[in-house]
Amino acid sequence: MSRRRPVRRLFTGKEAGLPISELEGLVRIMDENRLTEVTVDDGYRRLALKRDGGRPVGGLTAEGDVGGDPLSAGLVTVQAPAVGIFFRSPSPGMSPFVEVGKVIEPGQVVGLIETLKVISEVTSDVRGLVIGIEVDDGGMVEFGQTLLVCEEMDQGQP
Amino acid sequence: MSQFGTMLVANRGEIALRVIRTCREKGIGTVAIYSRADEGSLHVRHADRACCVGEADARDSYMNVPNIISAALELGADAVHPGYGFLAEDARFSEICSAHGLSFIGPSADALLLAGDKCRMRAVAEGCGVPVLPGTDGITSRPEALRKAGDIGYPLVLKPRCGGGGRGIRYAAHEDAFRGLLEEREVRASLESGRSFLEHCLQRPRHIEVQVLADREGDTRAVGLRDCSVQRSRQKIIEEAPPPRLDRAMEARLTRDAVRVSKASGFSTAGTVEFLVKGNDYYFIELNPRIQVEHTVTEVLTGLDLVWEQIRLAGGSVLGRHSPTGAPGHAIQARIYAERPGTMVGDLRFPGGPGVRVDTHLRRGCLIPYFYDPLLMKVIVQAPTRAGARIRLRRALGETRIGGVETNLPLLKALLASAAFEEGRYHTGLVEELEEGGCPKREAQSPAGGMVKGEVGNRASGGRRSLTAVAARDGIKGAQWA
Repeated sequence: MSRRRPVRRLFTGKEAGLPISELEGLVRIMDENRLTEVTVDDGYRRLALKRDGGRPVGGLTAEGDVGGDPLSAGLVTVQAPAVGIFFRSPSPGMSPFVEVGKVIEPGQVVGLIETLKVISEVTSDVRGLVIGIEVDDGGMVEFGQTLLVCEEMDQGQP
Repeated sequence: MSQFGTMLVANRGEIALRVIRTCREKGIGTVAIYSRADEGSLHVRHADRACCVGEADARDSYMNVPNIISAALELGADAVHPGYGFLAEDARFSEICSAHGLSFIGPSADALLLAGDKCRMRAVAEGCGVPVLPGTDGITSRPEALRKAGDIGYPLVLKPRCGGGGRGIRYAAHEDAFRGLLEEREVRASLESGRSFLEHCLQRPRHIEVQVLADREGDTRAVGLRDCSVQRSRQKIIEEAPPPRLDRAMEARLTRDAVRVSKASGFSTAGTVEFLVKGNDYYFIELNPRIQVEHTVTEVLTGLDLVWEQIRLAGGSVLGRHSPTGAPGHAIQARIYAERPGTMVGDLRFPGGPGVRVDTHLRRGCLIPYFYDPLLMKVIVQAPTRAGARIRLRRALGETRIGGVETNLPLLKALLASAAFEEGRYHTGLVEELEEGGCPKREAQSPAGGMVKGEVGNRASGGRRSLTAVAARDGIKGAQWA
């Protein structure tokens, strides 16, 4: 998942100003309803707010952000959807779901997480070339922890 | 020495910090959990270990039971402290903790279930001779509601049997209003499921509560009373101990009955028994089976560490010799709330000096998320007399600055300056009366840093005092008195 994109404003007409309180209200509506995108058009102006990856406002704490995102452009990650133990293969002794150098597709199972004896599949939501596996087999993961780092590939790219 | 090696604190904000602080003093390791909105929050920094358990929405994180239990097990915790709110009164959560070998810091699951059902608690109180307000058991139909409403007498409230924090409570002044209320879709749905009951509504009572400690053997002690009558929209904002102008006989009755109700409900660890008091009458309303926001006023007055007592008692220790109620001195707490969350804390100045305690998770640059309770800071003062405590709290709030965030500081200052509060003659309607009198509700800071400040003073006019709001630009020294 990538960072939240900055607010894009598209203004037409003469009424270009936007009170900060109005903007806050919109962001609040987005947060409370878990919306990823909001467009407001009142004839004079159009405002499109879009969130990418769903990192909420509250995550943007200013100083010393713990979850600082070291990724450069073109890299995407697959993150842990739950707290638990991460397994790279379907069962001990079997070959891993993914290896560095392999291409993963959206929906592909890339690992398992065991939470309180319940095992769930981790699926990728990206298409990319795996360049790093960040968690050891059998290691603990927290919610949102980076499991795989991939080079992003467009759908058309081989 | 503690029975526990590592505590997972299943909460956030000031109460998570509060629990972590006691654990650190007692040599208990700490695991913090946090949501994506709380990365870098102070409770995360103060804990030995921390684990992100979900997205910002509390249902996905602070109430995400599988992730929380998984974090506790993987990070080696042997106990879970739920704080207040979130999972603190969830009997199912406490059972799941036990099933995974984790000690839940609170009473047994049965006691939680009982305390969570206000109708059953009313019956428990009546069973041991403690007065309750006229009311019903769960009601299931409109005719039944109307008939029983007539028996109870108006005004009345329609309350959910379970749940707290004043949510879902509906008020009806007379029968017509009640009929109208019963037409509402939400109310009809709650009636059909039998999850509501009726209770007579006492006009302008005092809200007085008793802090109790109880061990697993059933030994129960009251360790102090608190007056929590200063509320806005059923939210407590100023609490004090001991309650002002409460005669010894009433204090003794409340103390005795709190212990009775607590014992009869099989409660253990630390909790609060709440009463409404009016004149010489008093009524049990509920038992809160958890640490409360206002436990601090009892702490500064008695010198007890109530979080430690709670942990110790949950671990099976027996009650020691606690100082009895009526410790000398006076304590008052003001809760500073954000009026509009979603903003970033800029300039931050804490009060200090003699007799001042500050419990907060704020730090410069932190964001106030929308998702949670907007409590920012608790300022607790202690002094030998009530008058001294009031002056000290006014002084402390005057020193407090939370830049960039609209807060209820002006209201708190106005309350402390009011004649009713000064004289200790107030009830749950105080805030309403004050706001009708034109008190400023919020303090806003413009991004440029210029502060528009509300200052409220007393004006002696014909022997009576009135409240007048004066707006003053920051930079003008001294209080502006009208």
